[in-house]
Amino acid sequence: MTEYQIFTVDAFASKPFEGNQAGIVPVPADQPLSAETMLQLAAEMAIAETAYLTPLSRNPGSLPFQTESHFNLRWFTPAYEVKLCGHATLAAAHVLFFELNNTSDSLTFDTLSGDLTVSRNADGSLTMRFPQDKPEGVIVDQEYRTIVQATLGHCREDVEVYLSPALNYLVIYDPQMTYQGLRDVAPRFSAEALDARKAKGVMGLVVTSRGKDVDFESRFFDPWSGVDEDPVTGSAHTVLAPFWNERLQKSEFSAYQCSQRGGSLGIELLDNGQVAVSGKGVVVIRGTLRL
Amino acid sequence: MDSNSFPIYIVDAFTTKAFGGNAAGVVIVPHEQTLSDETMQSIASELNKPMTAFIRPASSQQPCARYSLQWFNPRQRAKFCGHATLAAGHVLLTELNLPFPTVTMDSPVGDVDISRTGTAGSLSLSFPLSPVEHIERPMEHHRALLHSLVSPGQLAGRPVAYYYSQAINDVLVHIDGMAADELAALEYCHGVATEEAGRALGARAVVFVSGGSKDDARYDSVARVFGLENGGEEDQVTGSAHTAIAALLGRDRIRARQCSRRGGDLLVERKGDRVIITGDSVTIVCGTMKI
Repeated sequence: MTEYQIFTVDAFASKPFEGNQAGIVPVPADQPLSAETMLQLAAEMAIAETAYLTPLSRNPGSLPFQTESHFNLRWFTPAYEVKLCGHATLAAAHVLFFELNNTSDSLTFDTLSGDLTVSRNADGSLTMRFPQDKPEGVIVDQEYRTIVQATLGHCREDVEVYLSPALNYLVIYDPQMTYQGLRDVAPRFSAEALDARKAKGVMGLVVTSRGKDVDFESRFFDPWSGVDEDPVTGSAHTVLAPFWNERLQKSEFSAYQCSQRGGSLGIELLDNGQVAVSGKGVVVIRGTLRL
Repeated sequence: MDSNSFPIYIVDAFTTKAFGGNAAGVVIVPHEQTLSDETMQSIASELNKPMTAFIRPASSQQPCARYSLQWFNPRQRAKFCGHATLAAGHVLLTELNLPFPTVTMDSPVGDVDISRTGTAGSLSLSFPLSPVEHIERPMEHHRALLHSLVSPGQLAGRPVAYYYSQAINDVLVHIDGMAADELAALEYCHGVATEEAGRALGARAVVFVSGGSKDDARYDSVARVFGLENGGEEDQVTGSAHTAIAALLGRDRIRARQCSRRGGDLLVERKGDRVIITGDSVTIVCGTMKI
């Protein structure tokens, strides 16, 4: 039997049971796990993502989790390996910095999406940087109308619709949306609406609105994926940052994703066109995994 | 919100192999503390295992041989759960190695004794027998449940009988002469008719069971169980259903196999109005939850 450390972290959370969950398993280089075992454990954990991090240097006798700054990182849902997962990256960095006492100022993860860097801030929050994905307004034709209708339950004339070119996220902005209205959004996708989203190649629905205590709020849905709503979505904020930058004429935002679990993010549109996404992690379980 | 740390375990029950059987969370609550239903529900939702057992010693004297036991699935409190009870016994008698041959759980189905069997890793649970009534005149809804799993062509003339167990609120469909591999290969389709049947019959789950096959001497009973209240999810291994299968098959000793994807093995023995269910467990994670 081989033992590993395991953590479950609520990412973009201020207290337990908020944010988006990730299981984090530090895998020492001399105790490798097969991809099959990684997937089986992710299915057993049955939370959004389980991620595995391995130090990239193999210096014998060193304390790689404390001293290294480069790690390999792989993410698994209970069903498959994913190419990119922001919240589990934040969670992995949180474990390295605050549970395994890593001494680096920033960590670089070698992933299926290339190198991702996470840096730590004085307030205990962590920052990731992603390319921005500026959404462009679309002409609301019959198919978009069907999608908006299925998402909001109406498609009034003043509802604005934007599509992001890289991630293909559809941003739906209803200028009359209230604080409670955003929380009450409950998409109902008929066969016709599913066809329309397929025809338009939409990969995610982002409904956004001005916030009361924050600059903007949002919710993220992909009702065709089997998981209707993502509680906190880092990638959606690479689309929302340029969207709100134009409306509010500022580049630093406080954001809240008002799903049932809820998640808090700090967002900054940087001069180089990247979006810095910041958030905190809360460790809920610290344990030993036996395989 | 209660705030504290609790010992927590993730255990695979009714299996000798990691990632087999049915996964359960086990949370030990100190005697001095009680958790609100809201907190227990939040923990069970966060863990997202098919069931989480909350156990609390009945007195402050250590070690204690009597515990209270409550079950929560990720959505709600449950009335009866066998596999999480086995998992809880495994934590107390195997992981913590309490110096008793038997621990007693004060549970929603009355006192349940969990006893060592003499074989390491294996424990026996004493549950109340769940009587079944034969449904003389099955309705269209009963046949709809059958046809969610087996088309008339696949039955090959094998007799089918329907039963209901009020104690566990399950419909049982007995199919004559099914071998384990054959039952495992059937694809369950939870369609509109299944949904309607589940609602009309008001049942928690449908249990498909066969009293073994002449071609397979390993098992006296093979079964699969599907939830009707939660959209057709398969229960991987179901102790509670076997308290009714014991009554249905009317035998004193049943070597039972639940041939779900993960699969599980149970020895089911009838002793008067009790059913003794024996099985193995494997601990996957032991740790601490901080909330």
